[in-house]
Amino acid sequence: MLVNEMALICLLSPLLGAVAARFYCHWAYARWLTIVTITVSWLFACALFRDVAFIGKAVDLYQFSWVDIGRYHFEVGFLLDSLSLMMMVIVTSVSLLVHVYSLGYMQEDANQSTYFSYVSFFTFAMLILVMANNLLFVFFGWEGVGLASYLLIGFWQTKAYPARASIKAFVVNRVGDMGLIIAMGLILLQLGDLEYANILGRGSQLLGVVWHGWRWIDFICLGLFVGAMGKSAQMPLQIWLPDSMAGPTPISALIHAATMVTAGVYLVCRFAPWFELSPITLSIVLWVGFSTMILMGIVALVANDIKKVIAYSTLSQLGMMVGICGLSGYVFSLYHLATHAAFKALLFLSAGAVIIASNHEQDLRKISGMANHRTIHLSMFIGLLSMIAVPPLSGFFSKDAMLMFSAKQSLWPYVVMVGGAVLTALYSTRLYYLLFWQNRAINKTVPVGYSICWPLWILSAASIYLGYAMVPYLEVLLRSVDVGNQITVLVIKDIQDVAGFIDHALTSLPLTLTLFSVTVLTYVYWKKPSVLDRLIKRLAWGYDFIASQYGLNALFERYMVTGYQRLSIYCSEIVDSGLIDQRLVMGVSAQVKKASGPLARIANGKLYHYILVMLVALVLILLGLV
Amino acid sequence: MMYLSLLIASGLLGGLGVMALGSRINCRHIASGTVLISLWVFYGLTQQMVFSDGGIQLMESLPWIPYFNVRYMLGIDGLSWALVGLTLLINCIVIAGSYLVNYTRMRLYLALFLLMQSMVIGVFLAYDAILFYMFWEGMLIPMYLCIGVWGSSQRSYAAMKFFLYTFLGSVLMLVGFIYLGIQAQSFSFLQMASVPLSLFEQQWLFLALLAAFAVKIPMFPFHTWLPDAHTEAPASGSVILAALMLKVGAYGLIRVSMPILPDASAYFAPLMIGLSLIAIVYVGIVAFSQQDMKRLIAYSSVAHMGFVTLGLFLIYRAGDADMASLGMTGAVVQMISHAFGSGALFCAFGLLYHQCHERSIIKFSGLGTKMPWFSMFFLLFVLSTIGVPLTAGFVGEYLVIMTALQTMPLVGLCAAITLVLSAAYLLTMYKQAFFGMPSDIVEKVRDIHRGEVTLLLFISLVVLALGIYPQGLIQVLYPPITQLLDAAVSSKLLV
Amino acid sequence: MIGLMHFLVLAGIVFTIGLLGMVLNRNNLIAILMCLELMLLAININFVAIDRYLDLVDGQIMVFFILAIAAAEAAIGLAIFIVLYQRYASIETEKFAQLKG
Repeated sequence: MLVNEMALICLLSPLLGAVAARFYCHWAYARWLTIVTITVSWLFACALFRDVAFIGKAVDLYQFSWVDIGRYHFEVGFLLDSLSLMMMVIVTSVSLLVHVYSLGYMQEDANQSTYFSYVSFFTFAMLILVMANNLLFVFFGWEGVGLASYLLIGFWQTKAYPARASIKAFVVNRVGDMGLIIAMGLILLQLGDLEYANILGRGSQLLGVVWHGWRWIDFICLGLFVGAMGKSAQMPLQIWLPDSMAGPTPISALIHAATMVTAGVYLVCRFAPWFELSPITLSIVLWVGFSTMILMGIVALVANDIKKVIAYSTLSQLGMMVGICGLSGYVFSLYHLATHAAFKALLFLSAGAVIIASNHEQDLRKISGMANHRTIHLSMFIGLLSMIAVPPLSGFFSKDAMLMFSAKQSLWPYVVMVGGAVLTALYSTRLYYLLFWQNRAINKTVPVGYSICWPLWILSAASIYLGYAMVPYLEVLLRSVDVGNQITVLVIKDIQDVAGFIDHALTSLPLTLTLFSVTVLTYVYWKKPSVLDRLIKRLAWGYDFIASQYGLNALFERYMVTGYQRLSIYCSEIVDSGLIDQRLVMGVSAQVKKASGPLARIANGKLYHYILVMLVALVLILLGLV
Repeated sequence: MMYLSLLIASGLLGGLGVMALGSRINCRHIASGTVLISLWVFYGLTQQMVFSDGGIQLMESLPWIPYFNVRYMLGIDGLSWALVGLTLLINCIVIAGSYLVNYTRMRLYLALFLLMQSMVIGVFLAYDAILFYMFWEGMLIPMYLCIGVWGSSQRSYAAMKFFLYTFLGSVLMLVGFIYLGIQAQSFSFLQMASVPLSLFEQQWLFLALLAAFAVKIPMFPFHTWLPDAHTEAPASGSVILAALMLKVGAYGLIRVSMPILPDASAYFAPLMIGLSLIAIVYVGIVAFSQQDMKRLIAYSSVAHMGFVTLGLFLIYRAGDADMASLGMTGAVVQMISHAFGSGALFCAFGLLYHQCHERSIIKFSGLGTKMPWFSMFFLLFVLSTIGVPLTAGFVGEYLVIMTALQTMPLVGLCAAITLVLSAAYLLTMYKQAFFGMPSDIVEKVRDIHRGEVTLLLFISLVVLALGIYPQGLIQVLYPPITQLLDAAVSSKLLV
Repeated sequence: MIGLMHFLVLAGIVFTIGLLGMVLNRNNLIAILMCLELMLLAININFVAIDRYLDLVDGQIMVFFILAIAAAEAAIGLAIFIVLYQRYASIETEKFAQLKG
């Protein structure tokens, strides 16, 4: 079959499912229908991956012209290369698993057809985002996933918290979108085009363009990165992600862990050749990424809601990927993106299973009896080990690749990365102990069904195996994001010798430190929990501060939102209705009315007055003539 | 065939027919029949047009007042065609909507909307200043009556404000037209466009014409009549007001001010761009704290019309012709997409209002659970107004922002803030009204029935079609826009 | 010998009487109507006299028009007065101010 048709089917099939589920189907069929359409999409994504990803060059598929004005051509088209195909496979696979998982998770919900329709719509939008061959079409998907995320976070409409969280997510994301739009305008001005094929190679043209001493390319890359910060929830735009946990848990797995939040990383990697030309932006990327990694990792240590802990860990991992992009290690970011999609989806789906099994309890301090749930216990365990980067699980490969890459770049990024890895180990261990060790009382737990277990098993397998399986793919992937970085090539060479890589890692500093901290924390939890209690009491003042994301959340919710409200009321009441309407518009009319008073007395409707006036005027005119 | 006159006449005759025969036959049938006939004439006209040609076509010109050289002169180009099509579609929606609700004095109500259709189409087709003025003022009467007769509690205040405000502006326009007519020895726009005028003359004429256009659009300091008019008007009146009446102002700028007074337009471009930006940002902020649903939508209208004027006047700062046509096309597309975005919001809200007679946002809650279908359509319209891609609202905004970023990056930066502002105020409104547990009022409402679904579905399809494939519209608009653009930037000053 | 001037003066006097009657007589509608008729009559006299003097007929034709219109006016006016009288039992102008803004 032709590549173009395959790509179209892959993209449109989820849309068909979404529309049909929303409009035509009874809910019992709707969910199966969307699963079928997603499966079709997944199959075609895999087929495309097999056929196209390895041919070594990008396939550009023009579809139709969206807007065509003079020399401006805004088009709709696909670009299939090793990067976008990898993303497509990730998106459709996770989406398929989440669909299946939702069969069980959402089975008591009345609005299932809506739910499945939204999830399918999200898949469609996300596929647009990764398949697009130009920045405008990317923006379609970019806003589309934001919309789907808004709809799904606020899926439980009758509760107040999801409603607020959904708006927050959409509006904060829009701040990022603004950056993307601005970048688009600046690119259009300089290059007159938005298509990757026509612009990515011409980055050097932008180097000479300077505006008041600022290089144009810095602005463009900064705009793109602001877009990425919005979607990938980098500080200080991270505030929406923890709140987005108000949505159904499968959604958190799909949208807020595995796929949508990685869109920012995807975008940065797509524009890798340009970011390379803008060292300032690269260092901003590095700083933002690493500070998100460290600071959010610390927040994960103090959060008590199971979903929020995982959300903060997502932020931390995303910060790691973004930071590595800032070091030009795009391939390794993408590598981690893929493995992260597997183990983080696994963690979230396990958390969902925990929530079901514990009768919708999300507070880690109150959940009990989970250790007896074998599937949950095992899948959570594997997910956490993979995240901690224990060899030879998936997370180990990608994270160690990043560590090795940063070590070869320079010292301090390496140190920060090691810090990030240790933090990961700490919060993962804490999560594990709070969940499975703290309350070991055998409570009555709710059994979970097969549709929930199967995705967990599959994702567990992926979390174990994917990292190893992807090793040969790195070279292929590199072709899409090649910026001529020699260290990247060296590190890839190192990884390809898998046994040597593992050997080397076992004796290296990061793994030692990680395992050491896991051991210490385990010991403390096991033998001396009182130490921790005392520590927490001592540090109570910092606890709240950290838990509120270093005051950023409060800053946003209390000051920015309230301030904006006040500003709006001021503008509305004082300026708009007070000054403009009452003073100016109605003021003029009032003045006219006032002036009309004396004049109205002349026109009193008495005929004889009029005649008298006429007479007098006539006489005066006649006299004047004489 | 005099298609253009037929098009105008059909609405007028239909209106008369409704008044004369409405007591015997169902007046809604007569009205919908009239609209269908108009559509049929429009179809015939479309067959006759050559869309690749940007000039005036199917010109009809007859002497009307020979002494002053006033002619009955009608013509159509791609721009007018699109706007006439818009008028007919919107009127279709309004007339179809009349089947769903019952008003008092139905005959008068329908006759007024048919009259309005004629007048608006007349404005889009007239090429003679006096004729243009006649249609322009003719529009006011049905709208005034519509607000005054079927409005809510404060209707007479709002109707009077609306009438006087807009009338004051138009009188100044008439003065300008008379001066231009004397200079050009003719009232034809085409002749006016070729008459030389000094910069000073142009400036005063521009301000006189602007008085009429800026009030109608409405631009920033002249916008306060709109929220009042919208709040008091019945749903159909709001739809017409938002979808059509605001557009004639922008159309006047494109057709009259810019080609006839190019130098003054260029001279005042910074002012206009500034006012547009204020409309976009400041009005966007004001909208956030509105308590009345229709007021909020009205303010969002003002903000969105800011993009139209922004796009139009950016052409004077554009680097080349293509960039300028990007801006102007964006502005025109924004005009049309705004008609469907805001018009749809007013229409949908009208259906809700008919059930509960409440406009205050705070009184609503939990509509989503009580009216799932309605809330889905409403959400789509909200999204279009926010400017989410693949809906109509995105296209115009996007093109204008792109032009702005290329011509004046800082202006573009400010305009792009609208992405955040509009999302903030519309989604907050949506959250309050549609999320949560149903409030007392909402407990009593029912979901929309099949007829209403059909109506909203029709609008939704247009909204989506415009967003997914705007090129279909743009290839019609592009040829006339290049011509108008040519006229708008070629200076009249004698060198 | 009675010349043009005499007629014109007569017309002037009649017209002034009518005019002053209107200004001074404020209340009685019938009197106002009569004054109106007087003024029309004065104009008729003017027309006829000047026509005679210039040996024309245009003015005389005009007189017929005016007479016809005056008759119609009187008829309609009186009819209105009757209706008003039936309704308000008075024909004083001061009473009728319903349309005043």
